[in-house]
Amino acid sequence: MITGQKYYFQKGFYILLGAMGSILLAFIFLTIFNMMFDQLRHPSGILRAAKDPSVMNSIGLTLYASMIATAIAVLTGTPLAYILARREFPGKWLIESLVDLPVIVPHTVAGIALLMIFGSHGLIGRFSHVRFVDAFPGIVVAMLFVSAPFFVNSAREGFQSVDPRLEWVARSLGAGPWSAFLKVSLPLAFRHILAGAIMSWARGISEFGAVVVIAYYPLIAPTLIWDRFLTSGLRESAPISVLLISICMTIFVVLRLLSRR
Amino acid sequence: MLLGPTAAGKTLLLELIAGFYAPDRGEIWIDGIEATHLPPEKRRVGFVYQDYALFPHMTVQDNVEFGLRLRGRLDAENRAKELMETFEVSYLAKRKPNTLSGGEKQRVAIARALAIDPEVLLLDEPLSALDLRTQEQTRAELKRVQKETGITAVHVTHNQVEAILLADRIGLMMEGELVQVGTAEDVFTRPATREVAEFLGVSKDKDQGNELKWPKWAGPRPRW
Repeated sequence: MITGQKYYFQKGFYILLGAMGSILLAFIFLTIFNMMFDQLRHPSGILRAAKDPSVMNSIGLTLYASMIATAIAVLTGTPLAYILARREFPGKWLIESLVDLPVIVPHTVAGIALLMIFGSHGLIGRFSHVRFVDAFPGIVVAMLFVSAPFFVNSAREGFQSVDPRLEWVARSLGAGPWSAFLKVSLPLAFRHILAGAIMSWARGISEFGAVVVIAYYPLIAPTLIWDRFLTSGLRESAPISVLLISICMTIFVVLRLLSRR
Repeated sequence: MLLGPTAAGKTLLLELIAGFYAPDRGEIWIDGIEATHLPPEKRRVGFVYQDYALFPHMTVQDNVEFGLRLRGRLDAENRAKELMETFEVSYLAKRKPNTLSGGEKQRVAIARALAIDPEVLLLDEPLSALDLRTQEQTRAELKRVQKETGITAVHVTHNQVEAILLADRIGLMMEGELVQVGTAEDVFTRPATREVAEFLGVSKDKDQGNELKWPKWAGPRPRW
């Protein structure tokens, strides 16, 4: 039985935790929404940005490049996530650390490393007919590098949450390893995979450091904002920023709602 | 019927028979065919887990149809309907497993396992998660299935009464080893070792009488 005293004690406890937590929430909220309110009071800047084809093109390019990067992450990351969720093998911790490595590498460093691989003298760039430096494929590989861990970790969690005995039962009912994977494991992990893809896409869109090193042009939105900030200051860059995060937030809210279904 | 205390390796033995794990040594034969190295999908075994392991993203009907569809059976839907009728779960056909009661899940799991006409039906403590009344019904159900289909069933339990009521033969497992195989009478009146006798709650010395507690709901106690 919960006594009144205990209840009030708990209440005080949660109020204290809530108060401490709301400092962090207020910090995030104020930072983002201060900028948005500031711009929305004088919407002419945003309207001008929305009418500027170079702005809209770069936002479109950002969304598209990140989508391609996410598609690659899904195709190659899903099998990897499945192996990591299901098998134990010596050196597994090494593979797991490797997956997480892009998260801890400073993104400018990632960009430089990518440039050294995909540049015209690089290990891959040397033999590739595709141009990466200052080109669309360069943007994609930079986004892929920084966003892949988010996808793989989320998909792995998804597969881990699927009871392996369900796969076994599917096998005993006549499913080969492939059809057990496609008919049981994949649909059951789908929510996590989708959430991972959304996270990975978002991470790709928000990437600046790695992209700017390997492909300053064509300008993705974060680079464009940086470019405008250097040439014209807040007056030019803030409206584009608000436009970009408004579009992204709308998309992610919609995707989140769809994936909750 | 495999009988033994918790952690005796009963479930693992079933999983070895089904091919979910590979044995370190030894061979597995199913109906005259060596199955030691066959993948689970080639063994024709039906598996029913203690918690039934129904596919949570499929309806009851899709669960029962799963094996039939994989075999490309054109009559998958009709056969599944037949099975669901036999097990009195037709009214659940469109429901998802998480909305079913324990007894309902149990019947669906058995229907799903039997759909593929398995050589062997493997049952891992199929009654232990059910309340007493449902246990009784399900026990009768299992007995009926075995009689009607003549299917070989390996049924794991730690419940002695269940073993006596359902088993043709009882295999006793202790600490990973099969220590005795025989009829219920053999096992309960002539336990092979002191450990077996202690687990069964009977005395190794026949004269001291049988101490096994016989519950009321199990009907008349067999006299050996």
